Amino acid sequence: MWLFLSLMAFAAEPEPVLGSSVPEWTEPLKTQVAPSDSVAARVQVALAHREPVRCADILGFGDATAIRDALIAGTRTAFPPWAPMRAASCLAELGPSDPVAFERLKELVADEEQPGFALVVVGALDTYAEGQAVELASVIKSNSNTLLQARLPGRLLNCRHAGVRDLAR
Amino acid sequence: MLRAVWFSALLVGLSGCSPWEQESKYLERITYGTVRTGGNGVAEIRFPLPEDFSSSKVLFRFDNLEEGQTVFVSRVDGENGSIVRNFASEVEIGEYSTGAVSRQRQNHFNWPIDASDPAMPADELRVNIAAVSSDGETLSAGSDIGVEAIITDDGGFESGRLRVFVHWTAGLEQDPELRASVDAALVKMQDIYWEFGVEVTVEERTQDDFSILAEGAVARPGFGTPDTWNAITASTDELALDLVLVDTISGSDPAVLGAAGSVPGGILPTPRSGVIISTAANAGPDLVYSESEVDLLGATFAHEIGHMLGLFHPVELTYERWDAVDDTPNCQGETGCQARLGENLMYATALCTASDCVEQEALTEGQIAILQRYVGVN
Repeated sequence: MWLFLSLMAFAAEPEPVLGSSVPEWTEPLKTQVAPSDSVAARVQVALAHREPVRCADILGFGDATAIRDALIAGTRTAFPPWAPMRAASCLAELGPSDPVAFERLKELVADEEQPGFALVVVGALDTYAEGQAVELASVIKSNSNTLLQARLPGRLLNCRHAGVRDLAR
Repeated sequence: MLRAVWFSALLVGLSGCSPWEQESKYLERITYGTVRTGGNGVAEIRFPLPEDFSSSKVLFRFDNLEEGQTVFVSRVDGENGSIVRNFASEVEIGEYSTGAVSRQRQNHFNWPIDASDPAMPADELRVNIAAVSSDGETLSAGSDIGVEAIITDDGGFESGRLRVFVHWTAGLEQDPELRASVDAALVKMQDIYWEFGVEVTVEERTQDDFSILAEGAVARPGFGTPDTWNAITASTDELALDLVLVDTISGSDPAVLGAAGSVPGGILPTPRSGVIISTAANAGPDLVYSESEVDLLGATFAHEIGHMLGLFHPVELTYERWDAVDDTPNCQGETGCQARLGENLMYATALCTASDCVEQEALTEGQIAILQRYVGVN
């Protein structure tokens, strides 16, 4: 009888849904540094983060122009090496609607000393209108860096835009 | 010589057991079976412990839930019903000792977690797990959860060996410069762990060994095709961690440098068991590794493996969530945290100048105690 009552008491005991207040590990942690820090400082910290960071979070830090300028500055950062890559990746999200970002991206993907930028941007071409995508892809295609050219064909062929796929053939 | 193992009457099923001796270390893989949650959505696992495993470590795998359901660990109880660890209180104050308190489709839970946890009980370990309905809001009564575990005993928590399989995808290993850089970074990672009493042995595999690596399109653990990570982890030793090298991570921003599947990580096969590292993102825009970048890659290997061994960032970038380790300070704000934790291996952000980065290779005694208790460190 005692055992039965004990089991009933256990069964009735409410348990908190712990998981509801803990982000799933599969969801990258949101990146928000102290609001008092400047946008540039916040962007710099986020770019240096070791874990995946959503560009949407970075783009939400504050004034759009200040963030874009911080990202452009970020593409000139040397260390850590993934920071300029992440800056380019977030700039690529701005590119479709921000002419300044788009022009900077064209400079980046043309840089034969830094083919990683083209690698980043080619992965974002699906998010562009076909004309912009072809414009960027043409510059990427003309970048003669051998490390880049070895990686390009498959990536361009996977693009949703026929004009980009044509460039790869 | 193998030690005798004993299973209680509560053991539901027993399959795939392969006890063997490994240099005086003992291991069992135990299929506990399926548990069903009660009316409150909670199930108590009374996990039978083999006799004479004096310094045991257990890594549970919870899975096989219905579509959309998730599982988390809520409590560990002592032999007399006392509460040994109640994770609700950790969540309440925002300090986590295990990612198992997070609801996940497949969950891993390592016990003991740290030096404050009591010695393993003599007969059984009691762990409460809860199923969450597909609405994500309510606990789910009558849910079936698959439970499997690996238990080891290496005689102590002061030192151990960790096996890491490094999987090269899509012929990356054929690039001699990249190969040299990665090999040097792996040595750096081994040096870092040596300081913490962990000898990391590295075994490398290529697409010639395992055809799934030929495609190269591998997503982060927990993302993409579930079968990929299942197959990768199933193909290697049960106690080994799997680390996959890709050019860029499939389905992710090409700037993502790496990720671990969970804290702690799984070594039994699940779609989220393992570590992935992008060789392109870690090299930076020139795609070539400088000496400093090789060191950083080594630290990245060590950092992501640290997650697999049970370590969180000592502070997250929100500066409002900390790990539950006693000797990692609950710092405040960017400046304060950099000053107090900036050299910690698990610090979330690299701290760099225009020409170099701060070496982040330190761990506290409390953090070392955690990784030494991971089931894969023996």
